[in-house]
Amino acid sequence: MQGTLDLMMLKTLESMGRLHGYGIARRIEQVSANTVSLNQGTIYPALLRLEQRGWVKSEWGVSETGRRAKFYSLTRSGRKQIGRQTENWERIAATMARFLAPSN
Amino acid sequence: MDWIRILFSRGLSPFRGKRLDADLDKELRAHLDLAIEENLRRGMNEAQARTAALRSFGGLTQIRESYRAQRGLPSLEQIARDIRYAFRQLRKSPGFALTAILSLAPGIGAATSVFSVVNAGAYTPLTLSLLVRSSQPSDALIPEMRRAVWRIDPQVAIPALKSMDEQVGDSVGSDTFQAMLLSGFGASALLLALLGVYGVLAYSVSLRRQEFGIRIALGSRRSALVGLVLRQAAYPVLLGTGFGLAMGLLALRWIRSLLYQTPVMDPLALGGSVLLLLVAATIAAIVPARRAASTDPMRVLRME
Repeated sequence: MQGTLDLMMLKTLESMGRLHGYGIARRIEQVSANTVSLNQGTIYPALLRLEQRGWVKSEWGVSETGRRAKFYSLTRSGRKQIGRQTENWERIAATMARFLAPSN
Repeated sequence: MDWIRILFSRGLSPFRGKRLDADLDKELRAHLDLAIEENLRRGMNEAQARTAALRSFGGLTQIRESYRAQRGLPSLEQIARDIRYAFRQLRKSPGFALTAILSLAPGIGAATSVFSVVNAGAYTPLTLSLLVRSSQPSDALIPEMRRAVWRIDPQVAIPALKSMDEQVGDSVGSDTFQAMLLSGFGASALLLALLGVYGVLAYSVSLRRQEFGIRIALGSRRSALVGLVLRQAAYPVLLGTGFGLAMGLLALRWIRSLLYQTPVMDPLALGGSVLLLLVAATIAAIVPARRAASTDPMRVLRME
């Protein structure tokens, strides 16, 4: 689901601060304990989408190992977006949980 | 407000394409380098580290493509590409362009000039003529006749009151017949022009079936193929229309020297025949375009 990856990336940036694409991808893999089998490359079109919406901004910088990389960070409206999308997800999750409950 | 920013960012991207592509490549290379670095730290050798990094990245080309699609207004970029392609195609096969232009230009030229003449002459509203015989002089008769008509219906407009001699002089030429004849010529010229467009386009589509098959096999949408053929047809049609208009205006000037009361340029006839032509040319082009879109890639690719 498209919204899933968006929210994962936004949350990652919220907890980690400024991060490059590789860092975001690795973090998502780690947090999900590799249950999300992510083609790491797919985060780049997704990051671009977030940037176009104004939720993240990017700039070139230098990684901890001294490589030039593009770093992404949350904007203010990105932070607000996390709130909205979280709410949305919780609603969906609650709805699904009701459907999946063993007996009702 | 989001959509404004998105539109702005996407709308500008065709003009910054090269730089953005280079940017993306640098970013992706950085990603792979970082991944390789980490794999090396975990004890892989150089080759393993590289393979693993590429594997977990996924398809490089697909990512680039979907990034580009996300970046631009896809249809805008698509159109720009089609236009460039159509120009290349025009240069490569000047035969098609020339045929289309040559068959269209006289058609539209004839049509505009003829319709201008017809419009000036024959487009008179429905009238009823009354013939009155009297011994009185016509000057005295005229007000009396008006009154008589208006007593029956005061709404009726009386455009002309003429003596029999004047009337006979006016109607020497059988206007309507000539007008119809001319219209017939104009219409058949237009029809011939359109047949020309259809024929040439249909032929060029039949020559390119393999190309369309490959395009479909590579994932081109059928609507995109229709658009491609239509846009390719559009250039010669527009060029031909332009030449045709110029020829029409010249012809009109010539006709003016022969015929009484022909306008220099009749916007209605001009606009009308151009519009008619464009609509008809679109229809003539849509048939081959749809045929292109319904190419079966499997069959075409199997045949040599």
